[in-house]
Order: sequence, then structure tokens, then C-alpha cells
Amino acid sequence: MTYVDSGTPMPNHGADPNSDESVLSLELRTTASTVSIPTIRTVAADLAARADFDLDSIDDLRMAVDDLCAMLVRIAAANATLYCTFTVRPERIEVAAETDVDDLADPLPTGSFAWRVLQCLADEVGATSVPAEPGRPGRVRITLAKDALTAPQP
Amino acid sequence: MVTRVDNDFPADIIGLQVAEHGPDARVVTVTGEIDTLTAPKLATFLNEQLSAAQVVVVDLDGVEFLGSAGLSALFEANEQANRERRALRMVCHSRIANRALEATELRDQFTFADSVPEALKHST
Repeated sequence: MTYVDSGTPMPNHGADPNSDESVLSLELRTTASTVSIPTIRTVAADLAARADFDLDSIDDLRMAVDDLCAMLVRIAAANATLYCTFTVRPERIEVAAETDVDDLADPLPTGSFAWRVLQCLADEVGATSVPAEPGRPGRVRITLAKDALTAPQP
Repeated sequence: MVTRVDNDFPADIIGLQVAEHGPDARVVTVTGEIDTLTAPKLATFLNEQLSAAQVVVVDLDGVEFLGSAGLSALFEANEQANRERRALRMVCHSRIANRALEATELRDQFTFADSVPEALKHST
């Protein structure tokens, strides 16, 4: 597992688009396997707790990240890598995760139970895909954003 | 009678226990994390209990994580109970599990009781 913390930039790292000190960027690179998911969702919850998210928002983000990763792992190509990037802004955490897929016949799990759950848990969700080409796998990317305060239920 | 069920994961990830209350009621106690790794185990287990008993109470008080795979397993068990005219009743004082049920607006799908004795009260 690789841990990149842009708060302590590497020398010669080039211009960091998130050089704003109020923004923390963290990237996890794991095997696209279900056994990686508990670690990733725990990182998400930890970031939210440190960013002063309320308890419901911390739980929602933990569940949303679990769900997002599970969707990608389910469709990932054999031996694929799961890339998961967290951007912690004031009052908001954005998560982008992606992995390689073999078959893009129906790659985006946007009609599934898991997707509906994700929509309930996150404030914004999105999914994009790049079709496979000969000699190159396809790529699926799912993003979400979660605000620090849970909007009161109507 | 309480039966500890062997599973592939240490008890701190998911624990499943079942107790028989007379010939027709069983209480399933679930502890730990219900996620993609462990939900299939829960789904199979609940399916077996619903096939064997008229009333199944699921005690979720010790649940520390409930992801969409876990919600799906509970939802499927509930559908099975409705289909086969069995009673599936939930007891849940786990903050995390309750949050999962509320945030996903699935709580209304299930029948809840305040406690295990309360859930068993109406069983025959």
C-alpha cells in the first residue's frame, strides 16, 4: 500500500495543484481485492474525524467509500490495482477511485442496489469509463463528495 | 441452546450465533463488521434459519459496520421471510447500523422490536 501525503511534498515533485495549505491530498494504491476495502474505509473515516465531520457524516463516508470500492473490485480485471485519492477540503472530502476492467459491455454499476445506497450516503456521486482498446484495458472511475455536516432530514 | 457458528473470519470481523427458543423461534446474534467480505456468510446463515424456524429475530446490537452488501443481505432475508410467510424481526441499538438503515432509507422495510424478549413475545 502506498501512502502519499501532499502536506509534505517530495523534492522535485513539480507544481502541486493542491498546494493550498488548507487542502490535504492522500492517495492509496492497493490490490483491487475485497481484503483491501476495510483498510481504505478506515482511512476515509479517520480523515473525516480529523476534519471535524459530525458523527453521521463520518459513518456515511465510511459506508460510501466501502460501497464505492466494493463496486470497483467487483468489476476489476484480474490482478488490477485500485487507486483511491482523497482530497480533504475545509468542510468537504472528495474521493476518486478507479481501476482497470476487462469488459466494458456494461461497466458502470449505476443501476445497482450498491449505487442507490451510494447516492443516499454521499452528497455527490459520479462515474465515468474509458472503453478498452486492443492491448489496453478499460478504466472505470467513480467519484463522490461528502460534506462535513449532514443536512437535516426533511 | 446457543450454537457458535464456525466461520472463516475471526470473531472480531463477524460473529454469528444462534439460539433456539422453542421449536419455532430462533435468535441470531450478529457482531462485528458486515461488509462485502462477510455479508455472503450472513446471507447464507439467515437463509438457513428462515428455512428452519417460523420466527427469526436478528440482534444487530453488536454490529460495528454495516455496508451495502450487509444491507442487501438483510433485505434479501426480509424478502424471503415475506415470501415464505415467516417473521423476521430486528433488534438494533448499534448506532452505526441504525445510521446505515436511516441514511439509506431502508429502515421502513424491516420490522423492529425494542429488545429480543419483545421480539419473541408474539412468536407462537
